[in-house]
Amino acid sequence: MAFQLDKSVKRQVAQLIKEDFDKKIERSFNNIKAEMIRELMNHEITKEISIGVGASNSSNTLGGYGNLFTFIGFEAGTSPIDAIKREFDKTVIRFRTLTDDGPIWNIYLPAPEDIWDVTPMPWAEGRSWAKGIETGISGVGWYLYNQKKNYPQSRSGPAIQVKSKSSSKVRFKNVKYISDILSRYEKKFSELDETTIPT
Amino acid sequence: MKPQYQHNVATSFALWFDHHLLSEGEAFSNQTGKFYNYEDPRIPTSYKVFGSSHKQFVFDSSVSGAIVPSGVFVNSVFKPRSSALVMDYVNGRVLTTGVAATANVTGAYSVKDFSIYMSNEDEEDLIIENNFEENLKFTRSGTYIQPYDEIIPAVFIVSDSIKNKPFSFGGEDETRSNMKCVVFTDNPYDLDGVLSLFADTQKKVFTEKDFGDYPLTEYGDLKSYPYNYSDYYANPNPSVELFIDDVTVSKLKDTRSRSSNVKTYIGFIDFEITQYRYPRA
Repeated sequence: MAFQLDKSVKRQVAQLIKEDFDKKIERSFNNIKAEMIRELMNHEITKEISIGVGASNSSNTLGGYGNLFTFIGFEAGTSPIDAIKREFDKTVIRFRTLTDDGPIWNIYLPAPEDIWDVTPMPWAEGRSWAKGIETGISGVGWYLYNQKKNYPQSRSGPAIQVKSKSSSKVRFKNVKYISDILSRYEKKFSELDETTIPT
Repeated sequence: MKPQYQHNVATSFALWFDHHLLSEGEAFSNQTGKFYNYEDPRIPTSYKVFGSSHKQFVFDSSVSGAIVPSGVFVNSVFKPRSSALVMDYVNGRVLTTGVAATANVTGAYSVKDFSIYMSNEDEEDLIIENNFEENLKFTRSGTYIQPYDEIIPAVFIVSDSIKNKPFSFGGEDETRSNMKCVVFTDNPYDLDGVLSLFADTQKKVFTEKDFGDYPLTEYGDLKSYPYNYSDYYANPNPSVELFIDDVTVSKLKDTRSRSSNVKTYIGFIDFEITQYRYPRA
């Protein structure tokens, strides 16, 4: 009998505090999520690709030569970053239960593989350009771009002439990108507990 | 410099890839034909060179149905491999001493549908700069294929990168090696076949072999005949296990005419191979 009472009280307490708790933790969660998305959008890779065909190589991944948008070979007018942002936006928190040790919630954060799935290389769709930023991208896209740039069906538009020697080879330098952001924010989200929730 | 881990991985991978393509994909054809005499300045003058119309003979006797030649017929008399007759399985030819240039040299062999090359070139160099010849699908009289030149259909294996990540206490790391393959074919059917075959190898394992275990000599002959690839599943041993953690296949969305008569279809197979090891031990 005592056990049943205890269980019932717990359920009522959980119900009573859940609403208030949700607000508090969601505020903290949303702050971290916003910070994570801000970091994604302010990353040099994101900024350079977002500008598109006219960007300079501000990320220095190509030694300041050309830009990532044309190097990867995206179609002019497309927004390759949108797909990543959409995945980041899917990060959510769900209250699960209240235990003797406190509340338990689940946070759903995209895995790097989720990002690879939505970032196909324009010239080889099984590959991910976002993963390639971290592991290396060959100059095939750049070659195709150069090959087609004088034709109306150019991926990135005929008007775009990146200052380059057409025959020269552009070397790509890998940098930390999606995996690094996600792994750091996975840690931040996991540290989200009662001590960090403003009351 | 003595061989390092990455040398072992690259060698093991190339041998496994070749075996898998031949045995599971049955990517070879049996041929009989004449070998034609020609001069090759790279070969010692003591040898006479007789080349077939094909390159890259199958040298793995564990491939069911494949003919791995142990010699050739010289004027209708079988002449086995020896110090006086070197089989060059890579260039599809024999090097002989004591045989007249006018001799009638014939033989039976299996030729790979896809030549396999280990390459140090970047994939853009392979795609952009190289000009390949086509392996002769039908034997033509009076012709041999030039040695050394790369021919398509082919798979170029590029050892890309290696990374160690701490895995457990005591210094055990997860070593992740990336192997990239660039596939060139002259028709989309073959390209789809290779990509499909290797897409299905994810989560398979193969055996790590020593760099020195590569079965061919500098002349392209077998160090020891016959050579049978030792398949991991026939003789499992976790201490020499290389695990294919991930495979990604894709086709290049651009069909190029490389020369007037060869249209090339290109695909990529990217492998992530892991092994748990003690690199600092």
